[in-house]
Amino acid sequence: MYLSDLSLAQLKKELQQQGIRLRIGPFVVSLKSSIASVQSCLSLLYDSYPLALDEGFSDFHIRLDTPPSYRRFYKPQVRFYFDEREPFKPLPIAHAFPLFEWGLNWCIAKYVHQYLIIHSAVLEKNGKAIILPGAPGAGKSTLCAAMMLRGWRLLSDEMALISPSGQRVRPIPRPVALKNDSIEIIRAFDKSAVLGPKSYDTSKGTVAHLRPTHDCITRADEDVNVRFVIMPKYQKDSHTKFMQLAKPEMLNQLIRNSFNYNVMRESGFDAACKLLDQSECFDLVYSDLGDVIKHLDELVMF
Amino acid sequence: MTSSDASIPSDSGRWYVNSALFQLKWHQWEEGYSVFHTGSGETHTLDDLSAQCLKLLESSPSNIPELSAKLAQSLSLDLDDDLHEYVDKILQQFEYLGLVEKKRVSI
Repeated sequence: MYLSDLSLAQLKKELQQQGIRLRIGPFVVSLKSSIASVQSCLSLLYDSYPLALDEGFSDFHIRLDTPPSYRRFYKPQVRFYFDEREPFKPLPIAHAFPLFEWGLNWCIAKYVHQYLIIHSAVLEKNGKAIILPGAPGAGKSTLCAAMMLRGWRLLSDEMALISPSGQRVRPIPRPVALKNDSIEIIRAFDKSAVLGPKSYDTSKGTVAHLRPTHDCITRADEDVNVRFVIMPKYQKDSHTKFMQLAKPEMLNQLIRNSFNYNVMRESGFDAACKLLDQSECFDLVYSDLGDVIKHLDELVMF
Repeated sequence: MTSSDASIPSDSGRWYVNSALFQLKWHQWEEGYSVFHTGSGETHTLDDLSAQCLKLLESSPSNIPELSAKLAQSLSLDLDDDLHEYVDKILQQFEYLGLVEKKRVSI
């Protein structure tokens, strides 16, 4: 059964009462919320996701709700509960759906240590995965969104789940978080892109989420070999340029961008080294999405 | 070696990797080495020469003249003041990173 099998009315009712159990990549997320924007965004952006119907184990128990104080009448807020504890301060109610996405990222980064987790986008074509680590603002999510819209399979726009063997990456496809100018860039890049509503004035500026393609969700159990690790950087008016990056330097970049290397320690070192042994590493500068995707297509062609 | 030999640094203590407290986990690349320090959880990048210094200390404690001689022999380098100076500097960096310690000479 998929989330789209529920009508919006049924989804709202279940979210308010017993909650739903969403299968997101290797995880089952138990979610409750009485907030209308969370319900409608889930209906729009998570419609292809399978629901876990049995009474089995949930990896994360999340609830987003408005506290029942008089404040809800003049400046309503959203609170994020993880195992009924609040790890974050409340946010304006308009930021409720982004808070779900950020909160789930936090849960995974903090509690999932069976994988080495790198802050990066991951996409696959022709059985070859590319990991795109990058600092915020480097253009990683924009490139990731555009690649997905041009037929690449999205494994994640936020985190690479690297197996301890270092050879495989596990998909965890989620809506792609676009920020500020990227939102209209992607809308113009592909008119068929399905985006959720904009949330203004968040800590990351204006945010909107792009729905993953159906193929990404249905193939979420298919892990894949990593062949390239590429550090993308958007640079206005630049030509697409790949520059070979030394592997010790790329290892340092992976460590810098890892959520749990300090927890994984030796097994994280082993996994990252094996990952790089089998991968080619590049710095990438780009400005034209169509052109850079053409080059990336050529990279995985043979 | 004696302290009267002016070409030899005065330091006669031996440097070593304290394997009772931590291990070094190595990975070799075409472009050098990465080494994971199990004690600190830090990962360090080393070029071929500094990696060889650390590996030699890992196999047996040495003072600067001894380490310079081993390095010169293993990598076919001239055993001169420049090499002593390099070894002295790299040992200071290793010590700063917690990779090596210096045994004090017991009297």
